[in-house]
Amino acid sequence: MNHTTHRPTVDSRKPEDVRQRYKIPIRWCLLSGLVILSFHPSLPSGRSILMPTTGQTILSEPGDWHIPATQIEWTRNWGSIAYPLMVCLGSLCIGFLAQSLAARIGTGTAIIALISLSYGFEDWHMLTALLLLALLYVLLRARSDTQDKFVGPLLILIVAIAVFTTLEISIVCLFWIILFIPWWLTGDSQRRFVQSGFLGTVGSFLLLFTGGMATGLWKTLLRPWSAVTTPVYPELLDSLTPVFGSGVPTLEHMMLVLTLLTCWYHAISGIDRPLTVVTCLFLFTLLGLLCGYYLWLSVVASLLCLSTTSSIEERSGISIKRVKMMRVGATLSIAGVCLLKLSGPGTIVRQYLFEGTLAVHRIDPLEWKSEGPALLLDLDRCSEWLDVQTTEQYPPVIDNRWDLYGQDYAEYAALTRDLKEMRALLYFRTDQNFGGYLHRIKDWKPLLVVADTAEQDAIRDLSLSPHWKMIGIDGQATYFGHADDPTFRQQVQTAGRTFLNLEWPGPQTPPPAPQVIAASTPAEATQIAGAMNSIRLPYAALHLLPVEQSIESRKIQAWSYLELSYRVHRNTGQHSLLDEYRALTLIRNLAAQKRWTSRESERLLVSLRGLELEPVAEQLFPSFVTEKDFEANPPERTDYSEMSEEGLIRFYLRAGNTVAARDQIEHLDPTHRPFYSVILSSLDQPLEELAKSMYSLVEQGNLPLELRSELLFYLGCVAIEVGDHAVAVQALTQSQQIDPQSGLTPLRITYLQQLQSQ
Amino acid sequence: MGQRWPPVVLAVLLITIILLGRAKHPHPLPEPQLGRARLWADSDSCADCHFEQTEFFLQTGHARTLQSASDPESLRLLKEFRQVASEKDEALTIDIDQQEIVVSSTVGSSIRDLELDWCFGSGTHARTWVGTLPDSWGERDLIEFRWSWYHETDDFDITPGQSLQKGTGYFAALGTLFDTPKARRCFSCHSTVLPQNEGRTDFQELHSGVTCQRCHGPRQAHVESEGEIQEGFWAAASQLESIQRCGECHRIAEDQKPEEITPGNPDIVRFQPVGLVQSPCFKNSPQLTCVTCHNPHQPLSMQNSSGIWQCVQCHDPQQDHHVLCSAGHRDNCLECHMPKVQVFENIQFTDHWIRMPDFSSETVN
Repeated sequence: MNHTTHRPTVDSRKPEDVRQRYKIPIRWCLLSGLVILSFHPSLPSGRSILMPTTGQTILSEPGDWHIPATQIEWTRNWGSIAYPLMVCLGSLCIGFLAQSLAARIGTGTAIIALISLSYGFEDWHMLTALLLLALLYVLLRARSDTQDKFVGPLLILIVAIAVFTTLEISIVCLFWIILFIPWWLTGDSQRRFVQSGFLGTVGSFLLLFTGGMATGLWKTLLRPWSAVTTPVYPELLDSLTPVFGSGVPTLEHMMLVLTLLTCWYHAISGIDRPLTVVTCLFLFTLLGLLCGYYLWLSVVASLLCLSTTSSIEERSGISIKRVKMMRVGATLSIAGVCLLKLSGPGTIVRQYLFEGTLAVHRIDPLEWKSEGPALLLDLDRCSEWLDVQTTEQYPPVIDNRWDLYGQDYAEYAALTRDLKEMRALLYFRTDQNFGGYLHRIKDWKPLLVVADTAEQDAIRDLSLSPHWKMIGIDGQATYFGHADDPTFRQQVQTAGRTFLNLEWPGPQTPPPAPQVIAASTPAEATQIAGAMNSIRLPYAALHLLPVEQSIESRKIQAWSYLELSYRVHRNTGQHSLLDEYRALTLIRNLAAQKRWTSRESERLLVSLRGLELEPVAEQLFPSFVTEKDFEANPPERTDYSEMSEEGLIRFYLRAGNTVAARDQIEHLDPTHRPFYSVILSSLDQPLEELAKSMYSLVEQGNLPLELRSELLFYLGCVAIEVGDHAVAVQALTQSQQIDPQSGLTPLRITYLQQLQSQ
Repeated sequence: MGQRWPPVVLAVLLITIILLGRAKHPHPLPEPQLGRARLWADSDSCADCHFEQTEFFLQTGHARTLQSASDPESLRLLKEFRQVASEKDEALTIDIDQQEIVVSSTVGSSIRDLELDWCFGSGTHARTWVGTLPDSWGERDLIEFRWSWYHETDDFDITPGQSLQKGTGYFAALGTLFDTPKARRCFSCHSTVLPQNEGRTDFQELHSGVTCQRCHGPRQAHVESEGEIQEGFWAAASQLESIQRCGECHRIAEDQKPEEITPGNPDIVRFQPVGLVQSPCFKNSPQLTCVTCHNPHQPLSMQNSSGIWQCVQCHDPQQDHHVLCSAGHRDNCLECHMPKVQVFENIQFTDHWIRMPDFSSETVN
């Protein structure tokens, strides 16, 4: 049978107990720091946003409110701080909170809170969270010493800091009201404190109100309200979307929601339910669930509020020893997962500590010496690159300050969609207005378009634009400079040369220019490789793929081989056995492991059809074949009986059917077998070995002329992939000489021209 | 607090979240009208009520501006071309069977094929065939066939914009490659519905030709309400909006670089609205739009769009206060003020930049 013990509502512990609480909870802090480091890795030299420099845009008006600290010369550099410092601040804040929860609510809740807050850590909310923590400190201080005359000034100081350094002034004020007003209303506080606090409160709020009337502060104060009422355009600012608004929420959001539910559980199950806790939970749950942007902060506020209550049930059935064991177990599990994550292949920590191969962190647009507006395609991620300096040099046309620009988002989102889909010229829209980006951007004259590097569709279409040239790519953003801007001319040339050098190796190919391509981690390198493939530079993509293979990098590898297959097919009318075999084998393997997303599967289905591989595509992705597809592409089932032995093995190879192809080899003419064997082994050995095998087979001279010419072409392709200019030129030239009338000629000539121009 | 609060508070919280969450549901962006595959009425239903407008509409250039390559008129021309293809290019052959039309070019021992899918152009000026080429992302690029048929000469010649010399690429002997955005642009001006699915053009649902609903919008609601739901755009369109609507395909001045908009630039002549808005007639006549002279519901041959009745509305010799031709002419205004300009070797366009002729300019005159 469970028994519950109840503590009085107001904390009656002595000051020394309270002071005990302010000791740094090292264990909790370390644990939180470990989670943050594992799931939000960055380089030690990296910067974290403390005060966002948002709002200073082309569309901003003189009365708009900006964070004052970012406007003053000597404080603006604190807008971002060193990553390790941010981790320390974050872990301190979360550690204190977890300790307080463990002491008052229970270890389980504390661990849930610690994991969710650290896993979903948001550095741009850090200052606000610290201010909320400070408010809590003032409350506890006041409770422990009701004669304290500094409470009022401290409260005013906190609000003043909030006004000076953050945009979330109203969150701080709201928390203040929820925390203090009910407590004052209970009337058991000393008159002196009530007067001081009340006067402080009234004074602060009057100041805020006056400031709101006189400046644009009013809109900033209403940020939480406008966050839940501004129409959402997920393609532009997904963070404004309700947590359950667009499909399945992220894991971070689910964990934070779980923490909120835990708060509600404790609030409901407690016998005494203070108004403070209920009000706080109600308002912050509303805010957090209706606007993903505020979820983390809402959970922090809810937990802080919950940690002030004393009405907590404790299960007496659980022994102290068992609780301790649970704590140790949970700590070890979290630490174990984090250490595994940290030491995993390709992580920053591993690179930094063990391999010492740290690449340039980010592209620095300031080096381009240009100056002009930037058009951000994704306001959630792309504004991360805008620190104080870049904002001055490249002021964004609009940014994520929905309180200032919320009413412009609809048109801006339509404009960015036009850019992503390359709709330059005028067209008529369903809302009876005209679209087309050319005439819309005329007034803003943007110099830069900044796309999220993960948005490969947009990058693919933008790369075909006559108005924008890709000038740089890193793990975060892809930059397109205005084609006609003379200040970008040099960068456009450098970028073009870098991309071509990656695609077509020269005799002495320099490493990629760091001001054009910058990847910090293998994951970023994979993403950049994906973007390279999206702009139809598959060899460049393969060169950029990290050695250690993740699922994502295998996907990009498959897409690159598919792109190469298309290149051969479109330019010769023939199928590249080598590329199609490798692409289809990888696609098959990943499909067997169910690694392809729905969107990718759908795209692959269409893509494979274009290579005349309908039966294979339908077999691999049957659930994506619609009736309409079926009618449009009636399955022309392969009639194997009509195929020659050689035709059959070619079909098996193109379909990535390794087993059938291996069996079929036995039925071939012995002089033909080595050719197909080497294709079959193309994924089983390193590229250098594959090239050697191909070369020695050519040297043996037993192959029929046509197969020899084809093999030399493949050898040239593999040499390009390896980056061996000499072998590539030699092999392609020989292939051309042996069989100049072959259908491969146009592509061989193109390849040779490209290689010789390097 | 009392003991009954949990259900009440939770219910209020839940209802508020649901209500506000619904209001905050992600807003769909306005789409290109022709890209939306819904709310379209059956195109035949327009003729049920709008006899006058539809009687001759199918004969207009707009209606015939895009056809399947296997359309009888297209096939007739291609069959004619088949007879003379080897005279134009000895490596070129055309195979026409019931299922497909394939043009081939022989280079050495290799044969390069292109299947022709669509025929662009109404035939008023020319007709050009294209084939579509899938790419690895499931989109389609376009190969514009090297040979076009011209109305002016009733013969085949090199397609405007293509080089007289054949290139060395795989398709170079057969045509020019247009990437996906360009291809999308071609189709968007030659069709009424061009649905996009996950960014890909759905050619199965394409409605070829510029027909009623391209200009009047999807009319399913109008048909279902038996005409009660009326269209909003044309009734409220300003002078500029009206021209912009035509300029969607015939181009507007804002699409051009300012330095390109000069009277001597023949490229501008192709883009009639660009020239029109530069004209003093446009600037001084708040009602002058494309439809002042052109009736889009009838073929040009049936209209008196090149007469003087439009000009005399403002330049009437019977009216003392009207400005009249300083050369003393009272008819045939277009010959001097809207001359035909040879833009391509086989195609002339009417210059819509209505202005005092500059007889020293060879290009315009």
